[in-house]
Amino acid sequence: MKRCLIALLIVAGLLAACGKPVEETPTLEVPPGTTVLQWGVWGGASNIPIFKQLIAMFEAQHPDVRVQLISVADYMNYVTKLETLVAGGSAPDVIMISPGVGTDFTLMGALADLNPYMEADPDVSPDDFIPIVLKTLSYEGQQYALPKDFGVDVLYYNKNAFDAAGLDHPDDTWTWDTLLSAAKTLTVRDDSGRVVQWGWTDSALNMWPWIWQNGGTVFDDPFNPTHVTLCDPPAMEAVEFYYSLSLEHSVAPNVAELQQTPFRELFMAGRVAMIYDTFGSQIPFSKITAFEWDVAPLAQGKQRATPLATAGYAMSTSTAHPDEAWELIKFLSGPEAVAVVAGAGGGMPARVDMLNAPDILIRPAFRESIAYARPHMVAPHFLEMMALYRANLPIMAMGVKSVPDTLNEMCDQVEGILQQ
Amino acid sequence: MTTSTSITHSRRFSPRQRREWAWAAFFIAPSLIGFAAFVLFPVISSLGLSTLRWNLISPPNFVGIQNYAQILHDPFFWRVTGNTAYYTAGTVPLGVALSLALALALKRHLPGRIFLRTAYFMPVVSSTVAVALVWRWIYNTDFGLLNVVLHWLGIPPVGWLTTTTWAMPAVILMSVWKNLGYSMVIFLAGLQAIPRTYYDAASVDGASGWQQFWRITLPLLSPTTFFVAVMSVISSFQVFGQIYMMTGGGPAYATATIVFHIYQQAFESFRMGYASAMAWVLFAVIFIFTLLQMRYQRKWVYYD
Repeated sequence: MKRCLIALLIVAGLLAACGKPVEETPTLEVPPGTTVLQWGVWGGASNIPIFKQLIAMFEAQHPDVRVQLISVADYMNYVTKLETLVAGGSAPDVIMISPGVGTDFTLMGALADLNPYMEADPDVSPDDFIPIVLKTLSYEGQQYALPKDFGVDVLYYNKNAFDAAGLDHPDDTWTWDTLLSAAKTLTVRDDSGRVVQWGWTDSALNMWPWIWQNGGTVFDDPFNPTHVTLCDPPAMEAVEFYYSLSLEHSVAPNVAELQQTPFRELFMAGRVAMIYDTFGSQIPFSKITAFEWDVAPLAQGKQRATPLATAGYAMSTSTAHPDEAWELIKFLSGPEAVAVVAGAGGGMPARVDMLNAPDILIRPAFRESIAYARPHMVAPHFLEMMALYRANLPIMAMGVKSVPDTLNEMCDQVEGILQQ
Repeated sequence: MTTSTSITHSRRFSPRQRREWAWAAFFIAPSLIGFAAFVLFPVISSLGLSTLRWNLISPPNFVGIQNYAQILHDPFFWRVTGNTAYYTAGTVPLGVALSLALALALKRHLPGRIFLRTAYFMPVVSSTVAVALVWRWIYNTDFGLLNVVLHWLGIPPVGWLTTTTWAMPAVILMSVWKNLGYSMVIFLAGLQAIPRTYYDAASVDGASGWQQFWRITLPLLSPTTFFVAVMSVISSFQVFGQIYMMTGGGPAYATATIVFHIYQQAFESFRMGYASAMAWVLFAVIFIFTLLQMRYQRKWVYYD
């Protein structure tokens, strides 16, 4: 008797523990005949309302289609989730994607080529979009996504700090030397030698603008890399200079200090006078009240260059509704949707007609930088390489091993990943 | 243990015995199913996985023992092995000694000893992630509690998590603090199992407290010490949570341990096969270590 009771309790406990699995994406209740499209995006609470607004606009124009948003807050979690969905053959019909992952997914055949759709559709033409952005979202002639928006890196600076130090504000004549001497003047220490204000900083992982500005490259052809040129003299020289800012000249905090207080927080707290950062940071920085800030183009080396970042909308090859998915992509990369997204301030519109429209307010420094913007995430297996950079760059940045030694090791490993 | 006299006949089990076995199986089943599904099956799968090259998306391809060979040439692997050895050498002796001292101190009938025992055990049951985050703030170079206290003592601020010299000691300190309670409780149990008569006899013979500790407590406690040592070594080889939350393996891979490297290779570099191979190498290392400890125990562990 007692045993039966105990057994019953165990079974009841197990069943209670099982329960109904947590549904992340509840199935939509739709009238019959309606197509349901799944749209995968990344982004937190600030981005979801914009996407929902776009969905409402789209559904108003296409009454027989409903769009279900599948969102993941963190970008890396989004990528992992996408990979599992793609592996399981149930990827969303429309996928928001960035170049680092887009190349790999295209290689595996997970993303459809949008060129045939563009050719067949009189309303959309490749000439509508900014050429470099469109090229960044393609791989070996296959256009795997149409742009959502794009951004470039610029120099954000604290006007008050410059005025207090009696320096002229940065402009487009700045070179590496001008930047370094300004940073030295702007690095302020208190009596105990502790730094109260750093001259300059960034994420400490962004070696690309320096390499390009010095005439170097990471690969022989970023869009079709065959071998690694990261260890050639121009690139190595650039990386040495980049890390000398914190190691030798002490005008920038080192990687470990940045891990404690991220560089954007340092800027917002007024503890660093200049940073290299992306377009999207204007949103959090707009909340700064303690000081005034502005932007200038990146300082130039032997030439000008700045990293280009973008995101686009792709179509899954496993979609059951390619025509409706194309309509959604066409809408999302079209003028109405791009206006809404650009209005939120996270990126610049990638459409030629809209970039020059008078009501789109973009600071001049960004506009000027577009001419020399280059993508850096387009190589295949980029995520694997990024993991390698994240592991190795701090070793150089902390001075644990010299730049040439670390770079040479890195080059071998990156070459290994490339030849996979 | 004596065997039941009813199983002297070599005939089938009686209906009553079969019912007993049925009930036993029924009670064990949930645990056994859980073990098979969540431990046994993944472990065997990972052995198979370690012979493949797989990045989660593309179809896997068989590479045999190439993953294991690659481990020998991975500079990061040797670095993290050194870090793990450093971590173990730091946490195990310190942890065992401190928790024994604590157990001895809290064995007496001090006022508030129950509160103190609970207080020392709470970090053990607290979430590693939460504790790591709190300690990250304590270790903060500019605002952290530790540097504030050092400032009062006139010592300049130390870059606990921002310098390669101090990062691992910082992690060791936090881990020792977190796991003190666990070993302390086990030592307390071991201490209470020592009969008082030995101490009484020793006092009568005029032995000092220190002599009593060396000659009575330590030898009779050796099985417990052995258990605590073995468990500490095994779990210190597997450390991951604190590293991931407090330092992210940094600065410059100074605190990255083997399991952290495995996590990175699997979930950031998407090399599932390679990571599985490393996990099996770690298993082999822990296994050999534990075997060595068990063989060596005959020299110093005293069972009565």
